[in-house]
Amino acid sequence: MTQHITIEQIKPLLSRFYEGQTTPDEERLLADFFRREDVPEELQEDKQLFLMLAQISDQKMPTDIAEEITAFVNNLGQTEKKPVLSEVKQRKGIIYRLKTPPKMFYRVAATVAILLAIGGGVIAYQKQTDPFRDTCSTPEEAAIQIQRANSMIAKATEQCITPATKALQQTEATKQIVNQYINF
Amino acid sequence: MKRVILAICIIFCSLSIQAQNKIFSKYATMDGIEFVCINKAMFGLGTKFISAAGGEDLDKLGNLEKMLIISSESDGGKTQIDKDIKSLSTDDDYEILMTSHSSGGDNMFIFTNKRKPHELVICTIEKGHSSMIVVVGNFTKEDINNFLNQ
Repeated sequence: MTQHITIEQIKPLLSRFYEGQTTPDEERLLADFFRREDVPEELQEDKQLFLMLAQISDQKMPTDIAEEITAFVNNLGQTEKKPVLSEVKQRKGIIYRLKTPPKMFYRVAATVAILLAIGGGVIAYQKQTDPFRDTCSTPEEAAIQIQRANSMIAKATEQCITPATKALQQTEATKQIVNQYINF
Repeated sequence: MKRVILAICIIFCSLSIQAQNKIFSKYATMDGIEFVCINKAMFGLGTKFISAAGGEDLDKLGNLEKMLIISSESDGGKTQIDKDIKSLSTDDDYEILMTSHSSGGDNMFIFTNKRKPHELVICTIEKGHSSMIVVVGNFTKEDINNFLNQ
């Protein structure tokens, strides 16, 4: 059949092929034609295309492709639904090795980032509104306030200690007088 | 969910720590109150300045974190300070080291080592004037005794 086909017949068929209107038989005719050696120069580019298509269609599909696809689809289902307790150990390896580590990493990283952002914000806010900021801007000013505090403390100490010291002195004096009377 | 609960706990803990200092921090923005805060670094510079000028070295307590001077002569401020002195003197966390009462006024030395860092509050209540000097640091009662007897 291929031997009978001529260039005049091929050209309209080729046009129909490019328009996507050819039947599988017509496409087979075209493929057979372009496998020939005596393809004219003007159809060399079309020949290259058909040879490439033929090469792709010649590739055989792996026999276990259906099983691979089924296993892949099943694995997708497994990561979405929670495994029952008895299956956890068995699945754990697969899930943690293939799927969970990246997801866990991103979750932990996101949580840490959020906590750091909140913490940073809180610290910045606290610094801004810290009531215990230095009110003295220079050491001289601080020195004046420290001396002032010291004199206030000294005054308070004196007021607390002096009566006690006086009382102690009076007690001692009374003791001495009593001792003198006893000894007399 | 656990992380959210943990984050909330951390935030509440930090807020509760802040709340402990509220008794003194509120004076920072209060009207009619003179509030002076000197932190560790500035305190060090201040005492060096005093020493260089031939003055007395006041940093005898050691391990000082900060010092506050809170005083007021206005009615509102004085009332608030008096109220806080009373509440500190009845607080179980604080211990009265010594106190004096005279016609001129009252003085009280209050100390706590139940808070970190420790606090020594020297309170003075006089007619028309009240003050609190809050010394914050990791000193002991013995350190205070040595400081007062120097």
